Amino acid sequence: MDYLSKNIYQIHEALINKEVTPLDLVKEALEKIRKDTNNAFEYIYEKEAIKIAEDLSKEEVEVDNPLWGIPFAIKDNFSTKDIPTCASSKLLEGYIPPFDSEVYARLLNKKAIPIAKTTLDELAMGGTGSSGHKGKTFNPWDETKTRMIGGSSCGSAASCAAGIVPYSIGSDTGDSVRKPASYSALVGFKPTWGRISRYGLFTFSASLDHVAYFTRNVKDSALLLSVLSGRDDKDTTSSSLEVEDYLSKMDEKHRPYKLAVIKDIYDDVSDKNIKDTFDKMVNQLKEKGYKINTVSIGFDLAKIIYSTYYIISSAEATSNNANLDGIKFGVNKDADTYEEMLFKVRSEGFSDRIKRRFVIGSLSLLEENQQEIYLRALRARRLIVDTFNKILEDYDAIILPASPTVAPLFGDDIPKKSFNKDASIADNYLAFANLGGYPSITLPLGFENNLPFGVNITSHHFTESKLLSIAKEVEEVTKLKDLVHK
Amino acid sequence: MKTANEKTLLEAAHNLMFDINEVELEILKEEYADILDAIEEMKSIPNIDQLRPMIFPYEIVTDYLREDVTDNVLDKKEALKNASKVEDGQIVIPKVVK
Amino acid sequence: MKCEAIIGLEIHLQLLSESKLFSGAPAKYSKEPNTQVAALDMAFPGSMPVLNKRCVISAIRMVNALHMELDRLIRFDRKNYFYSDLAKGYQLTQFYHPIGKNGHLAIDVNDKIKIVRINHLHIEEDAAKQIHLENKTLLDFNRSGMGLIEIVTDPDIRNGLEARMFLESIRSIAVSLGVSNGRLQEGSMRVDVNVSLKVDDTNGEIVELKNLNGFKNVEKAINSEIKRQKEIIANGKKVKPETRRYDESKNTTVFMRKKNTKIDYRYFADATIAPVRISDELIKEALNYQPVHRIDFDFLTKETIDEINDSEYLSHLFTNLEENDIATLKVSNFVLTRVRNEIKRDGSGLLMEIEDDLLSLLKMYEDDKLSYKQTSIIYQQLMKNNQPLNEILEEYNFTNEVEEDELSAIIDETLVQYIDAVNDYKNGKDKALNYLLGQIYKRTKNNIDSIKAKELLLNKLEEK
Repeated sequence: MDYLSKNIYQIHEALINKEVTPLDLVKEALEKIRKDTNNAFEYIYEKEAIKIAEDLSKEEVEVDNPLWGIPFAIKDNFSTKDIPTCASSKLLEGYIPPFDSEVYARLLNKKAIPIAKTTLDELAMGGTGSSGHKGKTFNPWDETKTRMIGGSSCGSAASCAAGIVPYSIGSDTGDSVRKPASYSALVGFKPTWGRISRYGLFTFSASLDHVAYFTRNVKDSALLLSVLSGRDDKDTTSSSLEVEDYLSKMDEKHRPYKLAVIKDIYDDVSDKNIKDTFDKMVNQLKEKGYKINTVSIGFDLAKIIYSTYYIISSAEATSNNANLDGIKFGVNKDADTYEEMLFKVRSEGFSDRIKRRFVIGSLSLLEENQQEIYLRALRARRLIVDTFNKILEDYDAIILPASPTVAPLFGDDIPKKSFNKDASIADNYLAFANLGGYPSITLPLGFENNLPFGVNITSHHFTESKLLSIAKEVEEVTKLKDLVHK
Repeated sequence: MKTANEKTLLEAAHNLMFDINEVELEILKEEYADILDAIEEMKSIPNIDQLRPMIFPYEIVTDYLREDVTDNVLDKKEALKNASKVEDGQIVIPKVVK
Repeated sequence: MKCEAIIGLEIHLQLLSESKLFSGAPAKYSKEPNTQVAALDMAFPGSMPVLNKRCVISAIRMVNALHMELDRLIRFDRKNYFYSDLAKGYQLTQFYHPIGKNGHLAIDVNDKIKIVRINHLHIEEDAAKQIHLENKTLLDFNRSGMGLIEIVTDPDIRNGLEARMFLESIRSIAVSLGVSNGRLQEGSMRVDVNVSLKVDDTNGEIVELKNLNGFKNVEKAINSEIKRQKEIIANGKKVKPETRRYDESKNTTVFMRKKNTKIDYRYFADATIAPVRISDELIKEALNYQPVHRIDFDFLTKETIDEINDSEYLSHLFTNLEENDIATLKVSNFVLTRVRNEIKRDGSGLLMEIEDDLLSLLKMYEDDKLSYKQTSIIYQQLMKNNQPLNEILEEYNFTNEVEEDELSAIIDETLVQYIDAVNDYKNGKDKALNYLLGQIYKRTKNNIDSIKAKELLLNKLEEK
């Protein structure tokens, strides 16, 4: 039987009807993981998951808890007590955390079953899903194993897209969930910064990091939001704003919704198929009564979204990863002095790519450079956010193609440089929602040669109910949901 | 502002306690030059330097402070289990020179 | 040539609190290594800092006491550098927005009031403790993440005496406000001194004095450093910027190291801690805060004092003893032998209930109205029956049982019976007096006012 290709509510229904047990689901997941060829996993909960499932089999299905007894996967940059966690970094191989991240603890509390820790770009820094210590994670939609699924939450995306788990947890600092979602026909959702506690998420860039996740439809996304969001005193940046009943509020319609298409980003998409599909969807929404306008933010501003993001995230990352010294945890090296040891641990533990990024970040913070580079990026951040805030005050949401292409090929398509001043606007704009901390969701829009591409919708702070409501209508228009590559 | 020369870049890497090979140094040089170009793009936007630096994605202020009670203390075994070398309950590292 | 010493101080005070500045690990010293740590203190990935209210309250109290401007928004910055004792690879401190700015403290130097301006006061975290052995270094993270405040003065101090007076004043403020126990010897107060000479109108190079472990030493170190710098200038040479320590035996400062070529700490704002607004209510709470008093008596050992301070009830009880002027060695010994066992066995619940009676009882004991044995008996009754003290005293009738006439008669008898002791006393053997008193106690079964008895005995001996 193939239950795990269904969505959360369908599996929940099957559990209630006793068609399937948590143990059946765990066995199915483990079997699929064994056969999987996408390189999506860091750690597999073989014994642990079976034990949880066996314990659950003695209990009654919790009818009002749709996550009960269903396996999920979680990115390996979430701290999980007693379960190896290395953030796909060579330096952290063998690290066994002493505490649980808040998100993980909440899912365990709901009696969801963790089945795997998933691969990522090293320490969540990167967008190709290829820079982790285990190498490339492949896109299940591409049988030739030549295309990326995107990163940094590559393993979480691949495990959901391949029908192994109905949902998976990731993190999104620039577009690390919303971009892979576009390449894998999934719903990728990052709520407002502060909506979900980040306690236990390995800090990459605290002012941009978000907990985010993949599901196969919008309703499942709303369900997860109601479970994961809310104040956590262990993360003082988490919001005390009331958690809404997203599932029921999502169905309240406040039409006509007003949406904005950002001209300077839209114009940068050159793929005709993607553009046409997007236009068609826009027209269908208009027929439903939506008011959709094109708004310009100016080419110059669109152009600096990525560099602003890159400088801020790299600067923070260089400091956030200074704890990686191989002393308290992580891979240690023999040496005669502390300095020599530290040098060996970090030289051999980090990949070249990430080292360059740390250097860039560190340079931007030097006293001599800080005004010119880091602080200027923070000023640019204000300009970008002010601009988008204004648009989001006038419009209910911004809607755009989530990526200008389908999943790119590995190989020569991966540029050597991690930062390129001529990088495409449409390929890197999603970070605006991290700079501003907006709720932002990607969902399937169409296919090109059997490869998916998505649409992204972003709304104002803490308007998740409205955003999900719009997303659900887009989902009805595209008729693309519950997609799995088998 | 520091220019993108090898000495600056190597020094920055060494201050971060890692080495970087020559091939990488060349790529890094290009990346840093690209960053400086991006900075020029930012500078060309009128009045950008009049804006206040934005640290958080929105204004965030809290009244919350943790009550002064002990909580979530690790037991010694948990605290030390990931350290590579432990003697008498203390983590051992090679001699510190500085 | 006009020559003037310019001195500024940087003072670190360890904050008194139950838990650390940003984590829930206990803020306790002298504990087994690596047993007082939370995930954050060892920088385990994903751990996050949460600011401790008590530490903020202490900082506000200090800012207030030093007449400083309070920054109503608490923000932290990161000081980035690698060192083996720095778990996160950065220190959380307040570089750009210290909680207090522009204060001053008036000190009394040789009956003259001197105002020392205080540049700023900020909150920051302490680093781990290291033990450097010959071939290795040992790390203990118990101290990692403990709360500190740093007070930085303007360069208003001119000599060692002024520095000492200032430091003593800061210490006494910090101790009385419950902010810190301010012990230089143990490192809960640390002082760095910057000394330079201004010759005519030219500022000289700054020499930093470190590792100063006593107020007297600070004074002496500064004075000897001023002398040293004056000599250098008199010889037509230049003072070099360097760090020096004080050698007490030679009363001179000793070279430690050259001033580091300036390290770039790449300070920038931390984004893992939400900025905290200091509300009017919090200020009120801070200023009204009654710190749990930390006792410190010179007749008790350091271990005993630490044990008392570590126990909520004992520190409370000793504070009360102090307030009632009965914090003596005698009463302390009673408390530490009898009461301490009680707490170990049954906790402090009952003790809290009978507190007033206990204090009255201890007062009687201190005033020699009751002997040790009598006090013990009554204490036992107090604990057993929860009966009011006056009832117990009535029941046992320890006091005034022996009337003055009777006592007088007993003393007379004793003096006759122990005539040898009386003669010894007359020949100058003071011990004989105690012997005689002992006999009197025996005959009266301790039921006498010991002061009165002694007085009477002395009178009678005089008469003989």
